[in-house]
Amino acid sequence: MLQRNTARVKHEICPSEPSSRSWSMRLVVAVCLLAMVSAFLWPPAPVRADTPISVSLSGWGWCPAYRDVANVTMDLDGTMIPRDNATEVADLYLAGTLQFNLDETTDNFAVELRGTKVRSVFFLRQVSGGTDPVMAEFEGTWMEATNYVACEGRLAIPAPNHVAKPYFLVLRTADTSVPSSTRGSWVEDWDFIIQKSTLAFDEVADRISQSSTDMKKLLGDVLTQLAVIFREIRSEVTPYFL
Amino acid sequence: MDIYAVIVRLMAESMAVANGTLANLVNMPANATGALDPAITTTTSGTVFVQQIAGAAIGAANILCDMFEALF
Repeated sequence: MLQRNTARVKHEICPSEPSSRSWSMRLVVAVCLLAMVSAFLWPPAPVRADTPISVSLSGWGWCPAYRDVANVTMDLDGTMIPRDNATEVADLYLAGTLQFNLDETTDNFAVELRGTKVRSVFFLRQVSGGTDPVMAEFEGTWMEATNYVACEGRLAIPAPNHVAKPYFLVLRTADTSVPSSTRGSWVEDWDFIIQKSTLAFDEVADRISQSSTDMKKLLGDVLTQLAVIFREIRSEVTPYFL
Repeated sequence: MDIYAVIVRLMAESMAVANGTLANLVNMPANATGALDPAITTTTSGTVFVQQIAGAAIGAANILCDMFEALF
C-alpha cells in the first residue's frame, strides 16, 4: 500500500520520462524540418545553360590537287555545352559548310564537328563513313570575350585514285578583334601567352590579306614544288616510306 | 617598321628564296594543275637531289637494322 502510494506521488510530481522510441521519432522529424528549411534558404548551385553559337571563319587553304592557294570560308552554327563541375570546360557541337574557292572551281563540304574548349584553346573533329566519308580536324584558340576564333585544320576527302585528297586550312574570324588579357597567376600567364601569340598571327594575317596576291601565288608554287619533291622521294623508297 | 612588317617581309623573302631554289629542282609548266599533275617533273639536279635523300633514308634504315641485329 505504501509502495503504491509512493509510486503514485512520484508519478504526480515527476511525470513519466518519454520513451526512447518517441525521442527517435522527434529526432527524425527535426532532421526533416531542418532539411526542408535549408532547401529554401541554401543558395542552389548555378545551372549553366547551353549557349547557341555561330561563327563565320575565313582564311586560306591548299590542296595538292590544285596549284594555287584558295580562299576558304566556313560558316558554323551550333551549341556550346558547359560542364557542370568544370566551369572552364565546354563541349562544342557545330555544323555548317566549308567553301574552298579557287578562280576556276569551288569545292563545298558539309561538316558536322564535335569537340571541346578548355579556357582559350579548343579542338573540333569529324570522322564519318558511309558513301561520302569525311575526316576533318581543327585546333586553335577561342576567346569568348569577343568570340574571336583562329584555327588550323585538315580535311580529307575520298578521291578516285587516292585513299584521300587532303586539304590544309588556316582560318579565323576576320571581323572580330583579339581581346586583351593580363598576366598574374599560372593560368593567367598562359592565357596571356596564348592571347599574344594569337594577336601576332591575326596581325600578320591582316597584313598578308591586304598585300597583293603575289604572296599567295608564291606560296602555292612553293608548296606544289615541295609536294613534287616529296612524291619523287616516296617513289624511290616505297613501299615502306609513308 | 613594326615587328609584324618585319615578320611578313621575312616570310616573303624566305618564300622567294625557296621558290628560286625549288625552280632549279622541279620543272613546273605554267599550265600545271597541281602536285599530282604528271606533267610536273624533276630536273637533272632535282633527280640527283631526290636520289641523295632516298639514299640517306635507305642508309639510315640499314643502320637501324644493324643495331637491331646486334641487340636482339
